[in-house]
Amino acid sequence: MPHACNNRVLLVVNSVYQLFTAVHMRRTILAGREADLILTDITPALEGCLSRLRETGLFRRVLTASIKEFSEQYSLAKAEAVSDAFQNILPLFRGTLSEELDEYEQVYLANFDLFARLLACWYYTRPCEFIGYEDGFSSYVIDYLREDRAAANRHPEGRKIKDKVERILLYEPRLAMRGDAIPNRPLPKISREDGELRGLLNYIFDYQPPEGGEDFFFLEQSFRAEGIQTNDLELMQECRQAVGPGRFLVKPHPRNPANVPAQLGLTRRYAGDAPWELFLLNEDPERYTLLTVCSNAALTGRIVFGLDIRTVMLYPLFEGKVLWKEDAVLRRYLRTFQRQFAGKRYYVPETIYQLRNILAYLGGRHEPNNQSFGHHTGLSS
Amino acid sequence: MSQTIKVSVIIPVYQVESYLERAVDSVLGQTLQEKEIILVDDGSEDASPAICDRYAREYPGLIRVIHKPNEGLGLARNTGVRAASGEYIAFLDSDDTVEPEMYEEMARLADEEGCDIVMCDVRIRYVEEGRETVVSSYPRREIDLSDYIANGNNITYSVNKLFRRSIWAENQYEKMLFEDIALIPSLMTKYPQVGYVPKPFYNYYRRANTISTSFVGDMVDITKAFRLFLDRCNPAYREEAVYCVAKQLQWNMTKSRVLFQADFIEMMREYEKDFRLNPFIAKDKAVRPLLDFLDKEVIPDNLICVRFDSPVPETYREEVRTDFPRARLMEAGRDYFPPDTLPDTVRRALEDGNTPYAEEYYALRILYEEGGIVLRPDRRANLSLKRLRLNRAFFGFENTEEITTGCYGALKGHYVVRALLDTYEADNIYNQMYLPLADRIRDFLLLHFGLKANGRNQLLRHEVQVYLPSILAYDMKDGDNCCKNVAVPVPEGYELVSGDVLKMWSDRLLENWNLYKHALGKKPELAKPAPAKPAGISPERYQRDLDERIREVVETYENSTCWRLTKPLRVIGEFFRKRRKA
Repeated sequence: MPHACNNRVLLVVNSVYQLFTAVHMRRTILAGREADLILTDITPALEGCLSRLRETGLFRRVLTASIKEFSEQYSLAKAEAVSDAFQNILPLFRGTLSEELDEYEQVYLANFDLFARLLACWYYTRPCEFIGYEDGFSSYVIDYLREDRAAANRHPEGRKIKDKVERILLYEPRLAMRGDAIPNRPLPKISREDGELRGLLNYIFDYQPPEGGEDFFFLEQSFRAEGIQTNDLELMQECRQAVGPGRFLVKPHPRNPANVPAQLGLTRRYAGDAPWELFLLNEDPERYTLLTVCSNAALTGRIVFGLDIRTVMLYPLFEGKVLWKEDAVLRRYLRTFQRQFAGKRYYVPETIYQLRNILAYLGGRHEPNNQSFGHHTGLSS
Repeated sequence: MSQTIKVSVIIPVYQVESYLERAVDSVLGQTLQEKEIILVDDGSEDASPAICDRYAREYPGLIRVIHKPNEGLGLARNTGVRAASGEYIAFLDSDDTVEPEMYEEMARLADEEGCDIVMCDVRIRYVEEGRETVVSSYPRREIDLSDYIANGNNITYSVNKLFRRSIWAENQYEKMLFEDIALIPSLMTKYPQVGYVPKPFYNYYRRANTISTSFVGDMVDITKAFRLFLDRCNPAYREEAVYCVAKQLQWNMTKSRVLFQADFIEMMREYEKDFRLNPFIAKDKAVRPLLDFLDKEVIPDNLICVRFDSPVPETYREEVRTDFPRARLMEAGRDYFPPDTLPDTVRRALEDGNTPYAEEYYALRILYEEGGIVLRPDRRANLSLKRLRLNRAFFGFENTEEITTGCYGALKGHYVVRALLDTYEADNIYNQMYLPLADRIRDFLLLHFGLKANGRNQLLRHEVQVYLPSILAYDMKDGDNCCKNVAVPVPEGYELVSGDVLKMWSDRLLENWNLYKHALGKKPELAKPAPAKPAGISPERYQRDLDERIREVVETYENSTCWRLTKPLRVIGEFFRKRRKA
């Protein structure tokens, strides 16, 4: 397919992590190119970054797209809704985008949502290459375009994106196991020594250093946003109890409607909407221990920066019905990560007791000689 | 008295002041005149020695007394034999009696038929029950020795037989319990001139709490006795002897001495060829199931005790000697394993002074290499621990959630122990933190065997038994305890129990009672809320576990004899209730 020769690219950003990566791509693989960026309203916190992002002048234009509402209206799972959407591409774009789209040589996107598919249709016959970029776990394990996954994937227009996407850029392509035959290519890793990037990102996200002295961070996931019943709050409670007061903080997931852990008194409120990776760029990772069920944010320290941060993955203790629990591919991913990529300080307790012991040890509260009382006390009869 | 002695009656005496006179008088009342009575006082501390001396004074030339330090029945009999001058030897237990014609008739038969051994029948008098039964030694007067050894009765008794004294020049009793079994049946195979007087001349008084009806550690001698019988018997009668042993084993293993089953199995496996190829066993449907025991492995009789920096308490040794006299006490100190064979974590622990951690590893490794039961120096086991040798691997709860490392056991080379040992090899956080063995065991069983950390008995995948705390940690006086914590001295009559276990125990009693009442439908509401939900378990799973537990308890009650027997009463009660309502 002939490409446009304008050297112009478009990046579509739905989340803080995607924005973080988009800025990094802009300064590395997209350096010297003209770049537009679309900031969608999928993650409300991104709105706060808009003006600062524009101020940096990193991008020729920063467009906004209000796609949340129509994404809900035109469900990918319903063939009829999908047909409706594809018959109205132009009106949808006009009602959604803050500015008109241009002609691009490449479009970078991280999700295959309805908006991405509309873009694929829009540029389908034009010389414009579509390139996926990393969005955490899902980019490694989920074949979003598999026909049996959604009606949109069987729809003649909806499936055009499959033809369009040439490759997917990942920080660690060797970990990819989606099985969709789209080639995976490496994204350059981020150097923590890159002060310029750090400064830029800090500005865009208005990064504020953490206030408290907590050193055990529980990275919440979006289970509540997805209406999934789990034991994650109990696991938080367990962790909090094991590390002791004043050391435990829950970083809420931006998509969850309420900060339930804080409401329940499991943690004080975590301030800031900056991506977790920015925290890792700024703070001394040696000080911290990350706790999570299986948040990708806990792995990105390794995947994105090559760091060996103390990380405790709780997924073997998780109870609840979510994709990764059922998906053998994701299990394989986690196993592969643990065996081939994780550092020496990556812990996966398989029982609640192992969790307690690990946290007590990492928190300096472990007593190695905790045999039954009386052993070697000299009291034996 | 210058007459020739026909029969020397030897009566070993030990702490039998209440019965001795009756026994001696029954010999004095014998119609046989040419006899002597040898009382061998085996170091009695009651009035028995004085009674013996009195008899000796009153019957000089007829009754002799030998006082000696206590060595047990067998050696007392040997002493008597050495002092005897009669043509024949008879033994009488000092709490039994003999009928007046016994020795005369038996000696006559021996003389007439040139017998080496003559036997009679035995009358067993069950003292507490006030009943008696006669056990006939053989169905016919003429003895077919092969048939007698295979199918006869009373073969192991010394006391219903008269022996030519010359037999004792080349045979004697062992210093052990069950000395009869060790010797007498083999004598029967070696001295085939056997006569039989089919009359119940010997009165055997069977009481509770005698050596033959209560359990002590030395009773493991019974396996040695069977071994000696088989090893000493005339090879011409070996098949019969094996069958004879098999029948006795079956009774002992399934009825009378089940506690020693592991010891019996161990013994059987030594003679596996003899048992499996025995034609009598093959034909006997009733005895054949005994062979199934040969398929069963038992935990070796090793007690593993590891302590580095202080001596093993003498009380520990004493109790081991008393309850497990044949067990191999394997004491291990710091030098038991060469340092270069230790995992890094253990070497480091030793350097850091974390002795308990290293001791746990040593105990586990010895357990793997030798098999047996680990018994920490701060624990005391009792005889009941023997029955745990029938497991392949066993552990116990210390409380509701924790596993004890005070006492646990396994077969030699058991894969669970291997897996636990392997956990010490990895370079991981658990070894950096010196994770105690108790945690390793629990985590391993949770992950690989579906253990429920609830303090209850569990047989996991037919391979690993986990006991509740009252079995291996604290004696709750329910008769099931095998081993207890004695780390902290408590006054006589008291028991050491952790608060957690005490609470668990009382909760369980209350829970069972409530569930029982609940099941009866009399009082549906529970007096106390169910125990707190453990952390990290979803409400659904917790409810599932609770439901399962309720079902278990209800089933236990409904399957109990009491529940079945009282069913008619419940039906009648229900009938009247309905009538009242109507």
